[in-house]
Amino acid sequence: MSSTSTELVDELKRHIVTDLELEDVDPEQIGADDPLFGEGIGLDSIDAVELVVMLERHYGIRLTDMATAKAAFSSVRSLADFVQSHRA
Amino acid sequence: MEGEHAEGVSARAAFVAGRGAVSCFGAGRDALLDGVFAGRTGIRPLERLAGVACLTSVAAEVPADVRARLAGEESLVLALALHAAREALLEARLELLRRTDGESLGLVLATTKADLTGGMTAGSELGSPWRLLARVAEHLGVSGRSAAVSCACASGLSALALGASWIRSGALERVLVIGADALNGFILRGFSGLLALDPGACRPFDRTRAGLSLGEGAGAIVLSAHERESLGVELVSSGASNDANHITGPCRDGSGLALAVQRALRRAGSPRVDYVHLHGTGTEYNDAMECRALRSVFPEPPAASGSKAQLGHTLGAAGVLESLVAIEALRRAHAPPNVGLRELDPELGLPLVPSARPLPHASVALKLAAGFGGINSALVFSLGPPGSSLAPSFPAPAEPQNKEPGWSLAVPGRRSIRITAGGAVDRIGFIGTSGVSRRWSELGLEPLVDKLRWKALFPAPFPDFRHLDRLSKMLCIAAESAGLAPRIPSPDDDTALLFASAHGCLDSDWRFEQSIGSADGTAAGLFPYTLASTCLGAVAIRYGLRGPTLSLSTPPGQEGRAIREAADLVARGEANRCVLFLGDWVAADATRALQLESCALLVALVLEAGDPGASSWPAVSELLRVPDPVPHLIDHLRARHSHVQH
Repeated sequence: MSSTSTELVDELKRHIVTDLELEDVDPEQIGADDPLFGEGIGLDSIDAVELVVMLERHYGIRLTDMATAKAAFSSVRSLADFVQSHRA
Repeated sequence: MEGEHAEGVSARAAFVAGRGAVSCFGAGRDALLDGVFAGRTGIRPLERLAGVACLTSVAAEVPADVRARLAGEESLVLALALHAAREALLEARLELLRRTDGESLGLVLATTKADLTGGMTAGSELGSPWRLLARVAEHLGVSGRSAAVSCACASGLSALALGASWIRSGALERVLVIGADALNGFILRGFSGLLALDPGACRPFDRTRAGLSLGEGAGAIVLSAHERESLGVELVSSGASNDANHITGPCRDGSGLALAVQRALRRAGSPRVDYVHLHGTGTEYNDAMECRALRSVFPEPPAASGSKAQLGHTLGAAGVLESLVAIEALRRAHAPPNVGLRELDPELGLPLVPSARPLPHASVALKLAAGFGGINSALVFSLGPPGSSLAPSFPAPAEPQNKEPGWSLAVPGRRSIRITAGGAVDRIGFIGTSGVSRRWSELGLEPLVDKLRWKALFPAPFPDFRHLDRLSKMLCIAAESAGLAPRIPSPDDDTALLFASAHGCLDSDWRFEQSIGSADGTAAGLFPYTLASTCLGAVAIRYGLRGPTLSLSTPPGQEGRAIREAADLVARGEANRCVLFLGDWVAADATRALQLESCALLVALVLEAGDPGASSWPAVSELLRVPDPVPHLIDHLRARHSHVQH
C-alpha cells in the first residue's frame, strides 16, 4: 500500500475542488481511490489541463507530457504518490 | 459555367484565379509548393522565438532574411498577408483593376489573433483581426464587402467558404481570401500549456506521434465568378459542422468531420474524391479522428496526405496555405508526401504512405480542417477543362435588393428571413423571449466582477458551466434567455452559430497573458478560450447545434454586418436557422487595465427562414439600416418583455 500521508491526500482533495471549481462537491466526499475521470468524480480532459496547472501552482511540479499525466491522474491517491515522489 | 439547381435555379461557380504565399520555405507560392512537393521541411530550431519558455525547441518560422526583407520593423503578420495578397492579385491580373474599381473586389481575412506584438497593454492593438483587415484593405486599395474570420484552426477554410458564397450568391465577381498568422509567445505558450506540442518536429499519423509543431505564414487565393480567369481549378462546394461534443478535443469517432465532408459532397453533387489533403496535426486524437471520419465516408478512402510536418501548424493561415497544396496536387496530378511518417499507426486504418506519388485520376480534391470549438470544415476543389464545371447544388443567387456594391442581401424571393427569438445580457441584467427578465441587482450580483454560478440564474442544470470563461458564460446566458433549450446533438441539426464582436476574446486574452509567469502559474485551461470559436463551441455543446460555426471580428458598433452574413447563410440554405451573437463582454478588471470603455453588451438572435408576417421583431432588411443595432435590439427586448424599468 502507499505510504502517502493522509494530510497530502486531503490537501489534494481540497485543491481539486477549489481549483477546478467543482460545484456541489465536498472534498470529503471524494474517496482516495475513486477514479477521478469518467465514472467516479467525473472529471474530463479540460480538468486534466487544470490538474497540470494545479500541480505546478501548489507543488512546483512541471508535467511535460500527457502520458505521464494520465498515469498520475487516475485517483487522488495516485496523484498524492506522484507528488510525494517528486518532492523526495 | 453555370449549373442548374435541383429547382431549376442557376448557381454560379467560384474559380481559383490567383494564388500567393509566404511560408517557412520563403516568399512566394513557388517556394511553398516546390518545398512541399519535394518533401522538405521548414520545421527548424526556434529562432525569433528562441527565448520563449515552452515544451518544444522547434517551429516552422518564416526565415529571418525573408522576414527582414518583407517586414523590417513593421508588423510581421501584416507583411505576410500583404505579400501573399499581392502575389495572388498579380496572378489574377487584378493589380490594375483594383486601382480603378476597388469596390468590386471582396476581401476575407482569416487569422487567429492578428497582431499581438503590442501585447495586452493599454493602447496596444490587442490582436483584433478587424484592425488587421482594415490595414490590409487600405494597403491594397480594396473597399468592397469584407470580413475578418477568426475560427481557430478552421479559419482558412471558413474564409474560403465565405468568399465563395459571396460569389455564388451573385453579390461579387471576385473575392480575395487571405489566411495569415505570425507566431508569438502567446500562441507558443498557450499550446505548450495544453501539452499539445511535440518536443521535436511533429510526426502526423506516425505510431509515435506526440503533438503538433507550430508554424507561421500567409496564403492568398483570388476566387472569381469568371471561368476565363480560372487557373483550371474550381472551388466546387463547402461543408461545415460542429461536433457539439468537446471544446478543444475532436469527436473521437470522427462523426463531426464526417458530417462536414458529407455536407460538402452532397453540395458538390458527386461523392467522387481522388485526393484528400488532411488536417493532420500530429496530435493523437486529431489524426485518429480524421482517419475514422474518412473511413466512415468512403468505402475505399482516396489517396491522402498532409503538410503540417513541413509547414508546421500555421493556424489561421493553414486552411488557405494547405488549400494551395491541394489545388497543386490536382494541377500536378501528384499527391505530396506525408513527411514525418515513418511507421504508420496501425490503429488509423488508412493506407497512408510516406512518399509522394502520382494520382492516376486527379480531378477532385477534398481539403479538411478541424479546430477548437469542435469546428469542422471541408472544401471540394475540382480540376477540369473549360466548361466542365460541376454544378453546385446551392439555392438561387437572389436578386440584389439594393445597388450598394457587394452588399446585396440574398433574402428576397423564395426564402425570406425573420428573427424568431432573442435574448440579451448587459450590465443591468438579462432578458429574452424565453420570458426571463432578471436584474443583476436583484440577484445580488455584480456581473463585471463576480464569478457566476448557473444555478443562481436559471432552473435547467448546466454541469459544465464551471469550465467556461466569462465570455462563453455570457453567450450561454443570452442564448438561454432567448429560449434555446439544452438538447442532445443530432446529425440532423444544421443550426449555424455566428458571433460578431469588436473585442472577441479580449477578456481571456488578457487573463491568460496576465497569468504567464505569475505566482499562480500559467492558466493553461484558459488558452482555448482566447479563440472565439471555442466560446461558440461551448454554446454548440449545450444546445446541440451542429451547423456551420463562424466567428467574425468587426469594428465597434459595426457588429450589424454579421446580421447580413447570418441571413445570407440561412437564405442560401446552408442552415435552417442561425443563432447570431453580437457584442462584447470584457470584465471590469480587464477594461480598467486596458483603459477601455465598458464592453458589456451581448445580444443573441435566432434567424429562421420565413415571412416576417406578424412578428414583433423588426424585419432583417430594416435592421440592417440601423447604424448600431445592438443597443437598439436590447431596447426592443426590454420594451416588450421587461418588468424591469430604467
